[in-house]
Amino acid sequence: MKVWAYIHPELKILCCALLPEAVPEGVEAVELEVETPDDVVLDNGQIRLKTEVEKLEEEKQRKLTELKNYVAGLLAPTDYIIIKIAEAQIQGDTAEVEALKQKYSAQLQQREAIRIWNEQMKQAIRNVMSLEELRGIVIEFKG
Amino acid sequence: MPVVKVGMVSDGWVQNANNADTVDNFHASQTPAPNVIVPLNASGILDLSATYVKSNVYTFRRVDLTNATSDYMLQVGEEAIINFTNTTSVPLRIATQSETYYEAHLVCSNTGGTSGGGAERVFLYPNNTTYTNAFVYAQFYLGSNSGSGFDTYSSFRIGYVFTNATFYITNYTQYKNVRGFYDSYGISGGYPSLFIFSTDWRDTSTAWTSLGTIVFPQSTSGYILVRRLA
Repeated sequence: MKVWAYIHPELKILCCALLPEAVPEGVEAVELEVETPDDVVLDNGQIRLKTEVEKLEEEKQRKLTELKNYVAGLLAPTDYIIIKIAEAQIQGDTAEVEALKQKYSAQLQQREAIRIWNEQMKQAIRNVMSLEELRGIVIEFKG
Repeated sequence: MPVVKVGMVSDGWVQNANNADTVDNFHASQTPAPNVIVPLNASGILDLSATYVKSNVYTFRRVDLTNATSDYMLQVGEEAIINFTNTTSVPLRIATQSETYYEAHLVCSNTGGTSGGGAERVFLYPNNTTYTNAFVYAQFYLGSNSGSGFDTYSSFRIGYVFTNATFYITNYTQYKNVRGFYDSYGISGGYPSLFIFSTDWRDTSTAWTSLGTIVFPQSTSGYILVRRLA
């Protein structure tokens, strides 16, 4: 898509208009061909396109955040088990700790599997070399 | 109050008898048409449902802005429809100003499922423009997992992947907000997934003069209804 990038005269932030008429009157804009307005950056007062390396790094961070939120959602339903065990540990009740571990062993194993998968996913995201490869990574736990 | 003269005394009277259903020369009919008066129903209600008024127009004033080339200022009570097919960008072509309020419905017709979409966001670019990191978005969501988010964007986020959304738009120059809810589908973990969101444009001086452009992460079809409420 085409955008007309300019620096907001009052706020001094980067703006990208989709239509030339959306640029405020009297403001100088740079016409750019981009995939998305996110590809444009204001660097030391200069408007430029992000490099492929910058775009890849940003997308990696976004994917890692998405993964973090996803994993948090997977773990949240069984967080109460960890709290119960932690409370028993604080009280020094080792018998209760062991009893809880036994009672919730299936859930604890599932949490462990989620954490292992999370680490593997993080590594996979960090290792990708291209945006195409990164976009091919689907965040879905099938354990 | 119009006086209807009926009789056969003169040519003029005959003519008036033929126009007995007119008020100030406007005919009355249950079929809406230019310069035609639509009657109230037996309950005294202006009933625009298809069973009463013979029309497929169910609102007083619907403006089709699908192919508009310049912005149109909706009046209070008036609604716009914008149809779109296999596109990633839909300019609404609706002019706006401070102290206005709208209800909007984004209806997406892409085939339901857990695949076919990219895990990316749907945005509304106010003034057809992005403003770097000027928008903060808060959400709760529930799909195959659940969570919340509080993120910064460069425009109003109003959806995710394929989206059917209902949202409300507040436009005061000093406070600009879009909030609502949407269903998202087209990726694993969705179909359905419910998002409740609110997003503020954290800029208290820039005027919002054009409702803007909706930008999709992938080719999308459907329609958008926008009704001005204030």
